[in-house]
Amino acid sequence: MKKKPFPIKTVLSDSAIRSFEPYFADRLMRRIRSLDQKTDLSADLYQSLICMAKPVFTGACILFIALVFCNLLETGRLSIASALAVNNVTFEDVFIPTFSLFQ
Amino acid sequence: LTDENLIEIILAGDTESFKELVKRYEGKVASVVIGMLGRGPEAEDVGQETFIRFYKALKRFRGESNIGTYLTRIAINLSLNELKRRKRSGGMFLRIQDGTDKIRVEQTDPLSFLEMNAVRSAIQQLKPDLRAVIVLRYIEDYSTNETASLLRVPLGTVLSRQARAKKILREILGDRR
Repeated sequence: MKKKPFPIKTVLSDSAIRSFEPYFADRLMRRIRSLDQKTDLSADLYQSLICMAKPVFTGACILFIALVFCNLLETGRLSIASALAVNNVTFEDVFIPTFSLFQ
Repeated sequence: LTDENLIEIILAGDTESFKELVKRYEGKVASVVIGMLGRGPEAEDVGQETFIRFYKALKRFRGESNIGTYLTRIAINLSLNELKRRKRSGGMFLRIQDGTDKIRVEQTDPLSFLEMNAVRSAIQQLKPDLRAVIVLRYIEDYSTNETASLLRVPLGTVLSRQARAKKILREILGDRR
């Protein structure tokens, strides 16, 4: 007797499970809601940090500009070294600081 | 409401409308994920993760592919990752007992509960790359080209994997043509 062809497509298609456990959508939406809340919290925290840092940053910038201006006035020269009030630093000064201390 | 309308509503701030999209595509995602991983908590986790990734990507979703294909791509990739993780951690794959689950399926007979379980178990015995092809081709009914695109492999690879998978399934399911 001739055998019927193996109906693999029908068998596999019929055996497929086409849903998760009941209330899958509800469980998923709970996760999404908590995810949104976490995102909101992170955004709030970030905003608060920005708000706190803004005046500190502004103050620091003003102070820095004032110091640069004072240094330039004091030395009377227009260079980065004089603006930052640093002397010419040699290679030895950087890598052998103790030597410089005892000079 | 069309899927596009729903996406617009969700992006406008109505998160709860996402539930409607989930209901529409739960079946598609479930058949891919459960086909790949078998039923269990991991399948549920991967299913949820699939929708969460889609939710996060909604702003960037431009409708170039339809939502079903987009979700299938996420689901199949996450399932393959989960299978790799299982393999690394020495996880247990479902195994059927020799002989006890062998069935013979007639073309016109509807599948009994036991037969369906045997088929599902047989799919779980395939290697992940073969399983992915079987799930996409025969359960999700994607064409060979679409399957190749979803798995990002050449067409020939899909065809050879399909042939190998079918041969193994026939052996497991006890077909002796």
